[in-house]
Amino acid sequence: MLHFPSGPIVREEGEGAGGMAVDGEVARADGVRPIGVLHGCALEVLADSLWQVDADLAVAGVYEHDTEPGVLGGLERVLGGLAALRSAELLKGTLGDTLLLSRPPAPIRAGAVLIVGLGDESSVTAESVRRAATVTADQVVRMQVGHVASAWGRGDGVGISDGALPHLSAVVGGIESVLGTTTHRVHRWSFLTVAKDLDQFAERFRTAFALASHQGRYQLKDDRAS
Amino acid sequence: MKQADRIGILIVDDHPMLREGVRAVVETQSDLTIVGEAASGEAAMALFEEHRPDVVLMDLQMPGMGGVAAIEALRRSHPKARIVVLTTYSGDVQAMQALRAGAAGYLLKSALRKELLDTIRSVHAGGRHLSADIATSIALNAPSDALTARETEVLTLAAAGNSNRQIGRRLGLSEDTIKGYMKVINSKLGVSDRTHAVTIAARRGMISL
Repeated sequence: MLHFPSGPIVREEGEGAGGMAVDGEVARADGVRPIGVLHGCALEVLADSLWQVDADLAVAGVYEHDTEPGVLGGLERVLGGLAALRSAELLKGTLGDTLLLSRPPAPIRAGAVLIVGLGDESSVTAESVRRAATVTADQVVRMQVGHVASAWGRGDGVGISDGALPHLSAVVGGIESVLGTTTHRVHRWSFLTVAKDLDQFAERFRTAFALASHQGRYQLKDDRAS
Repeated sequence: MKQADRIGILIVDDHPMLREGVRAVVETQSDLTIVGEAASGEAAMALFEEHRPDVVLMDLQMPGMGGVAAIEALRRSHPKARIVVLTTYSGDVQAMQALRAGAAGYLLKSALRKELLDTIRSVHAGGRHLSADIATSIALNAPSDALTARETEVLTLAAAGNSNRQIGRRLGLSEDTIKGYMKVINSKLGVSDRTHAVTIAARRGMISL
């Protein structure tokens, strides 16, 4: 398992710009844990909420037919009831479905909010997660966003279970598939969690990142061979 | 970027200044190109056939075929057409009408340059877009009942300064029936008098003043 030692933030300019870089970056600021660098984009786990995070774009992943507010909880309170958008069929939550909300009101600090459908929760697979991540990254690149903050599913407890590993790998793989083919540089991607899950989530994510990194390299060789 | 790889945009608005403004913004972007301009819904239909744009920017209020009717017609003949409404109307009712007709985005003309460009790219990629304040307005008003065609007619006549008796005469109904309609309208809009009802209905796009 990969391990990040404690210490000050050390971030080399251009590090990992050609692909994934697990080593070489060390950070231990309160509330933030670095994961790695993916085509110049610093991935990190951040203890924050979607409606308070200071980012260019806040991304909320939502399940189809989900009646729980989940990660939308805070946004629901600020925007006045996204559940109503579901009933008006503007927000479906089907896999890959996106709804972009521009110019969100205060106290939302992000420049825009992107809601991404994760599909039916009972049929989520690594492949569906990868697809959702790819769609998200595609929108991020099209909007030429610099800093993305994303939270998926229910928020509390997401990403720390044993079964989360392949899904986290799929997230990295989906993002990598887009960032690896664009000239636009996303410089920071924060995966949000609650404070109590921060270290456990970061640990899982680093492992998933390493797995995805290896899988990515093998995939690259296969592509070249074919 | 090659011309064929660019996102082709059709602007539909009866105001030449607006079209010129949008063109000026879009033409600074290497991945976007204007393929046509139309001043009416009818002209938009013809230009769509000719140029097959990737994204249509559509005004709502135009002479002849209005924006909502044009969206319905375009989506009927081209179900995959990606249409963004670009309008001055911020009412939730108009927004819902346009979105139900098949628009993928709803943007106010007061939008920032980046917002317009983000919307075009996002909608072209298959997404939907709403200004957050319109989403909020839709969310807040979704539980309330919509006015029926007759109620809208009554309120439109009230907005023009007609008394209940005059409205009744115009519609061939008794004054008491109109009073009943006004009660229901007030209840649906959550107001206590006709002036407030007219104000709310106009703001939400239920009636035009």
